Amino acid sequence: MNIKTTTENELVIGLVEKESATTISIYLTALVSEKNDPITTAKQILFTELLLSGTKSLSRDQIQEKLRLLGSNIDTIYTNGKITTAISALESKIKPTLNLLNQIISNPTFTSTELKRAKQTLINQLELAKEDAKGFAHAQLNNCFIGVDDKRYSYDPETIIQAVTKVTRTELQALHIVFLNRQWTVTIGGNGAGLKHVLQAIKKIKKDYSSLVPVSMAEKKVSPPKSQLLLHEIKSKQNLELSFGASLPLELRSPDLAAFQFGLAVLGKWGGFAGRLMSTVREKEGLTYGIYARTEQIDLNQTGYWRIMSFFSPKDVKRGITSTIREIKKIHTSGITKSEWQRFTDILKTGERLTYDSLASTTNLVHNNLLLGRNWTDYQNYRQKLYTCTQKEVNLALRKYLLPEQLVISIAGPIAKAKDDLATSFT
Amino acid sequence: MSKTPKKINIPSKSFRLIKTVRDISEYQLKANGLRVLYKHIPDTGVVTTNITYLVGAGDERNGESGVAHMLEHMLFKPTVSDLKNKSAGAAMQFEREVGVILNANTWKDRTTYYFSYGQEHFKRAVQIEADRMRNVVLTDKEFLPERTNVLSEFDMYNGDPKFALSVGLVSTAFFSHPYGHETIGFREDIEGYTTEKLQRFYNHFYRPNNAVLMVIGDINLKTTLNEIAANFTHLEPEPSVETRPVINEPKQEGIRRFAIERPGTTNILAIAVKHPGFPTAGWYETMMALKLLTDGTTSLLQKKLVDTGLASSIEFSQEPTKDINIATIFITLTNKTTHQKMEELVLKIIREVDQKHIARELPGYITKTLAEEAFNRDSSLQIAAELTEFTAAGSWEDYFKVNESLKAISVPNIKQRLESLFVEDQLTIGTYKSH
Repeated sequence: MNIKTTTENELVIGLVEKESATTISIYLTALVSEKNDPITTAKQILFTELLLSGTKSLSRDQIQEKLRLLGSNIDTIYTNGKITTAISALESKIKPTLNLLNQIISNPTFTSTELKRAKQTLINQLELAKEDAKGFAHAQLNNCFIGVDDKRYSYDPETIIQAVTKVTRTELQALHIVFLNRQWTVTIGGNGAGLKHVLQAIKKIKKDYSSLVPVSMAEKKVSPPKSQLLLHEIKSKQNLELSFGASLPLELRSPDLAAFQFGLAVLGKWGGFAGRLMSTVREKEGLTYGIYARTEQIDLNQTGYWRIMSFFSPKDVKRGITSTIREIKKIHTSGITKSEWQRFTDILKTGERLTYDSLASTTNLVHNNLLLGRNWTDYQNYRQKLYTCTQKEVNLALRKYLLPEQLVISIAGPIAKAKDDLATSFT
Repeated sequence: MSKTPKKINIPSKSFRLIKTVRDISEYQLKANGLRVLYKHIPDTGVVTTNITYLVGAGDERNGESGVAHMLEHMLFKPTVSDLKNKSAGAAMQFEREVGVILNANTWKDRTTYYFSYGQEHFKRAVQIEADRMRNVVLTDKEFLPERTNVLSEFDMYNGDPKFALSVGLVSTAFFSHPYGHETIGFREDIEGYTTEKLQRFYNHFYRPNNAVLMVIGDINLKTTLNEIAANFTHLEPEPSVETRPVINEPKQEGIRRFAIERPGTTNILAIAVKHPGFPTAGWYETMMALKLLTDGTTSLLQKKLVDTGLASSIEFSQEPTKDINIATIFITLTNKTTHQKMEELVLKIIREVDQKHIARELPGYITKTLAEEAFNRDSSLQIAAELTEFTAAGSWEDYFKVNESLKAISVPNIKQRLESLFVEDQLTIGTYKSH
C-alpha cells in the first residue's frame, strides 16, 4: 500500500493506493463550525440528512435509486462541527458516482417538505437515544471536561429535540454555502488510476468554491474539574454503563503524548484482551465482558481527556469500580514493568501492520489523522516515537498525567438497583 | 468450476487435495480427516488462520443451551502444556506478546476461532490451534470466573430490547428444531453448567474430523501444509461424531405470538418469517425481499412508516444458517400508533406490493448487494469470516456463487417469496411494550 498526504489550495488530500483494489472509498470532510450551541448542532445534523434529500433535478427517491443501480453508497455524517460525506463505489462505477456526488453537494434544494420530514424522523430517533445508556455515560463524562460552547460538547437528546423544531430552510442553505467554501479534507483509497480520476473530479467540483475564511484549528485547553460521580437513571437497562476519566493536558504535538498513550494501552488497550484491565477485572475477577481505555478529543491544538469504558451488573458495580480504581492507582504509582514495555512495543507495531491488510481501514486511518491535523509523515513519526519510548518515559508520563485524585466516574443505567453500593463505592 | 486434477503436485504427502475452486483449495489431512482451506494473498505480510468446528448452538441438549458458546470462552484458558509451563492460555499469550487480532464466535451451526498476524508467526498460530483442540484443562478454577463473564455477556445482550425479542421469537417459532434458543443460551441454563458438561461436549465435538482450518494470506502452500501436518497429525478423530438429525418442524397453524413488557419508553413490533437455509435460492430471495421492504431511507416500509412518523426505525435480521430459520423485521414504534395497528398496517402494505414496484426496485437492490460483497472481501480477516458461513452451511465453494445466486433472482421470485413468507402459518410476531 502506498500512502501520501498533501495540501493543495483548498484541499487537504490523503491518497491510499493499492494496485489490486477494485473498490474505491472516499471521505470528504469540511469543518463548518468552531462554536457550538443546540441550534448549531441541530442544523448540522439536519443538514447531513437533507444533503441527500433532493437536488434541482433529482428527488430523494431518484438519488437513492441511482445509487442502488450503481451499487454505490453516499452517506453524510456530523461529528464535532465537521460534516463528512463518505462515498464508496466499485472502480468501474466511479465516474457516474462522482457525477451524482457533484449534483448532490452542489445543488441540494432543502425543500420545505423534506425539512419537515427530516425534522420528524430526527426527533423520533432522538427519542430513542434517550435510552442509550452507553452514550449517556460517555456524554456526561465528556461534558465534564468540555465547555458548553465547544464543538466537542455533547448536548442531550431532549435539548436537541427542542432545537430541531426551530431550524429554518434559510439556515440550512447558509450552512451549505459554508460547507462548499470551507477547506475540504479528502482521503481516497483505491488503485492508482482510480485515485487519479477521483482527485481530478473533486478538484473540479471544488474549484468553483474558495475558502470564506482561512480555517485554523482553534486552541482549546481542558481544565480539570473536581473528582466526582455522575449518575443518569435509565430504568429499562440491565447493566450499568460506566465511563471513568480525567482531563489530559496534552495535544498531538506534546512530547509526552506517545509515552502516555503507550502506558494507557498497557492499562486497557482498546479491543482484544491484552490490557491489564482485561486480565484482572474481566478474566481474574469475572466482573465484566469488556473494559478498555483510550484518549479522547485530542487534536493538534486541543487537549482532551483519557477514558476507561466498561459495564457492570448492578450487583457487581461496587466491586467493579473498586477493581478499576485499584488498577488505575497501581499503574499510576508503580508504572509498567519491563516485560510489559517490551511486549507492548511489539503489540503496537503489530496493530499498525494489521491495519494495512485492509484498504478501507487504512483509508479511514489516514483520513482521521488528517482531521486531527496530522499528515502521514507526522503520523509515522508519532508511531516511531510510540515504538521507541523508554519504560522510564512511559512511567513518568503515567505518574504525571494519569491522576487518580482527579477521577470522574459517569454511570448510566438502572441506578436505583445499585443506589446503596454507588453511594459508598467512590469516596 | 470445481476441478480435482489427478496429477497435481501437493507439497506434503500428509494431505490429499479435495478440490480447487478459483484461488481456494481444499486439502484433507490423511491421518485424521482435518480439512484445510488455503488461499494465497501475496505481498501483504499478513495471514489469517480461522478454525471452524462444525458444532454450534443447534447441537445442544435441552437444559444445556449455550454450552457451545461457554466452551468457546474456555478455549482461551490454559492447556495441559500451558499449565506445565506455568503460563496463561496460549491464545491469550499470543495476543499479549505479539498483538495479534484474535477472537472467536459461536453460531447455530458452528464455533469459530481466528487469529490475524504477521506471517512470521504462522507456526505459533498453528501450534496453538492444534493444542487447544484437545488439551484445554476444564477446571472450576478457570471455569467459574469465566461463567460469570458469560452471564455478564448475557445481561449485556438481554438489556437490548431487540435481543430480548429474538430470544422469545425463536422459542415461539420452533416447536422441535434446536434453533429454538439463542446462541448464548438461557440464563438459567448458564447458571447450571458444570465442567463435566463442558468436558463431554469438548471430547465429542472438538476433533480434527469435525473441523475446517482456513489459512488466508501471505504464506506459501508448502509451509502451510507442512506446519499443519506437523501439529495436527497426532490428534485422534472421533469416528462417530454426531451429526444433527434432519428435523422436520411440525406444521405451523396460524400466527405464533410472544410478548415482553419492561420499564422504559421503547415499543417494538417484531415480525418473523420462516425461510429456507443458507445459501439456497430461497435464502437469497428472502434477503432480497426483506431489503426491498426495509433497507435504505427510500425502501417501502421506511417511506410508509418512518417518513410518516409512525415508526422511529426499521431494520431486519437474517442469519446464514444451514437449516430453516426465522428472519425478523423490527419496527420501533413512535407514540402515534399501537402494536396492533402497526401489525395490521405492515401486513397490509406487504400484501399490496405489486410486480410493478418489485420490477422497478429489484435491479438496484441486487446491484447494491453485489457491490457490498466486493467491499466485504477487503482483508484476509473478512474473507475468512465470509468463507466461514459457507463452510458451516456445508459448501464453501458457494462463496464464489454469490453473484450468480443474486443475479438469478427474478421479479416473480420476489413476488412469490413475499406471498409465501407473510402468511399466517409462517409468521411469528413479538411485541415489546414499555411501561
